[in-house]
Amino acid sequence: MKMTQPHISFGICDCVSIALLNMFTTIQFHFRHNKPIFIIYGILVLFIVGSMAIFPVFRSATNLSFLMNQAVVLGIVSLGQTIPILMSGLDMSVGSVMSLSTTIAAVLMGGPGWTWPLVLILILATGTAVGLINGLGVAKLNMVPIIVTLSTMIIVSGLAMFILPQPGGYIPENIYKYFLFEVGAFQGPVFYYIVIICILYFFLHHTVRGRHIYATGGDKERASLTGVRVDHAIITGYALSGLLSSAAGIFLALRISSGAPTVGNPFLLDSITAVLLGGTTFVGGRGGIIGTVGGTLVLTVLANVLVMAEVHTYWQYIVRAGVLFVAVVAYTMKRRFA
Amino acid sequence: MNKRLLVPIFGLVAVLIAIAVISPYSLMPVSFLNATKNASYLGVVAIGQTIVMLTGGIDMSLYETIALTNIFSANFMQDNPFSILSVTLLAILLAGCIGFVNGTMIAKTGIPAIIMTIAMGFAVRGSYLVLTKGAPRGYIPEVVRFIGRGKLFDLVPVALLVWLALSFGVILFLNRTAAGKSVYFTGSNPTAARLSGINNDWTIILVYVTSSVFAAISGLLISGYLGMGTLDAGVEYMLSPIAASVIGGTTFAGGIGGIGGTIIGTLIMRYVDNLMTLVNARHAGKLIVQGVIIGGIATMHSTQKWSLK
Repeated sequence: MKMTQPHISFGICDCVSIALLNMFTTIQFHFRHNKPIFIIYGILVLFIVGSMAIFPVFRSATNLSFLMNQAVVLGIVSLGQTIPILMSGLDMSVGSVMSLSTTIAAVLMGGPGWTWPLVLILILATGTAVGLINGLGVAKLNMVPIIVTLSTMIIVSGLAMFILPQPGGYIPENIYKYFLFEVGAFQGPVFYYIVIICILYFFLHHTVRGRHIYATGGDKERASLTGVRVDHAIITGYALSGLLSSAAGIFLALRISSGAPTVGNPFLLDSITAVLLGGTTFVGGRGGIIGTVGGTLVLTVLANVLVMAEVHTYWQYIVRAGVLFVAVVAYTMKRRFA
Repeated sequence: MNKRLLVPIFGLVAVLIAIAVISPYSLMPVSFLNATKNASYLGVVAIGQTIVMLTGGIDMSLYETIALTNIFSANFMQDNPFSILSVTLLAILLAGCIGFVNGTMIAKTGIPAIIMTIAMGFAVRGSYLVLTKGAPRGYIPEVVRFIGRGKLFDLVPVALLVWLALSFGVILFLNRTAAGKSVYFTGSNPTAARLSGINNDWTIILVYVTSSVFAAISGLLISGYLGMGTLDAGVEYMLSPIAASVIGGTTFAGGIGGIGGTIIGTLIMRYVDNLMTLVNARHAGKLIVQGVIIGGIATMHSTQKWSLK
């Protein structure tokens, strides 16, 4: 007997088709699991292309670099806000921590010689301390996150007003060269922003504590049963949020070259909007900082376009609230019907 | 006697003693009545905030509703009865619409109340800034000013009477009517409330409409007190209604508390404010004290050892 071996020919056409199929399935897989990220970046691309078509000024290199710089402050504070929302909490104190940072910077940074690095450390430590208090309240006292962070928000904004009742103070000139340098096409703040994104991404996705934050957000009880120290995860999360808000406050102070006790307040709502636009929902455990970056960029481009369309500043309040409504309704609908 | 009211009452007595020590003159009948009258603007908003908090929600848009009412009425009120009546009704209707949108979004989409109402505050602020272009105009007619700052028979402040009447009405509503009871039920256990036939969504919508309407009434009283339209009419009332409710024993979790406590909480907030003015504390100090009070009492409620259940 002679067995006939089936002859399998594996030509170039098959190779290509399998590769295509593979690629397609991979894209489909990623699309299914990261739908919000695809949607937000799709909107972003549409937005940018549309504005480039309509406004010639938008296309200029100066404006694009300005745009990136604009995104940094909101970007950093939204990165911080993402973590509490991932754990189905909320950090109400981010705006006032930013204000406090600007006031400390404006009052103390003018000191002699090398005091300014110490002041930077002081600011970051203050922000982290506020975050730690929030985390302790949520994790150890079992308080509702909104209430804990609301009370720290009020106290911190009181402190900011105590330090600097009126907008003022100044940031000394010699500090700017450490922040406003240029790395290739990127300005200094954008460089710092990218570094922070990379570190935070690595922390959230490739360290034990970072995975614990996701696990805690997904299901607190089950995470606790599998040996996750839920309280440590929560405290770390809120501390990080405070730290990043104070860092954002530093960049805000550099931008306005002074301090003001209420300058950070609008960033509370904007950071929440950016996080929700990026697909991190209050359900917890879903989403991440990549989406938040997209949300931030969309908000920044929107603000930029509104300025170019010569819409009055007062309308910005209504637009901000409107974007938040749209984001919330869109994701609620998705949850209900999908 | 409700045990939960003991803490606020002790607090009130302590504050009064502190005032008596620092400045005995402010306990003279005339100035004391004046200070109490000044509590009624806060008192009316705090009633609305308490009802919302009883369902486990929170309303951060009230102070912008106050400002909107103030600017709206200053802009449109003329010195004749028809105009005053119609503008008043329109202002209340407008506030009712704001509350309706708040309530519907919160009940139907499940968005956290605090975010929804902060965003609504932004929208309201934006709309009155757009309408007035940042410069409110007009004045408040004499009748409304009498209601806001006048005294009946040169003795009893009208605003105080309005506050007490509204409080009395809401206490009756909460304790004696089915709708009022359902506010408590929805707050303490939404699932059980739904299973026993209460329409939670409607309760929540009702509650936010009520709070916005109370903010509008308070806005009218404040307009009468100020006598003109200003962009900052509401700033003082951003957090103090929450503080007043919390001091009065209403919890953030919902289902526990009431208007009786809120009245005492309002008085405490007002007298503490007077006290801090007496010792020359700035706005910063007042904010810090408010934050410490809210945080401290929330901590007290969260730890079982301290809660007076």
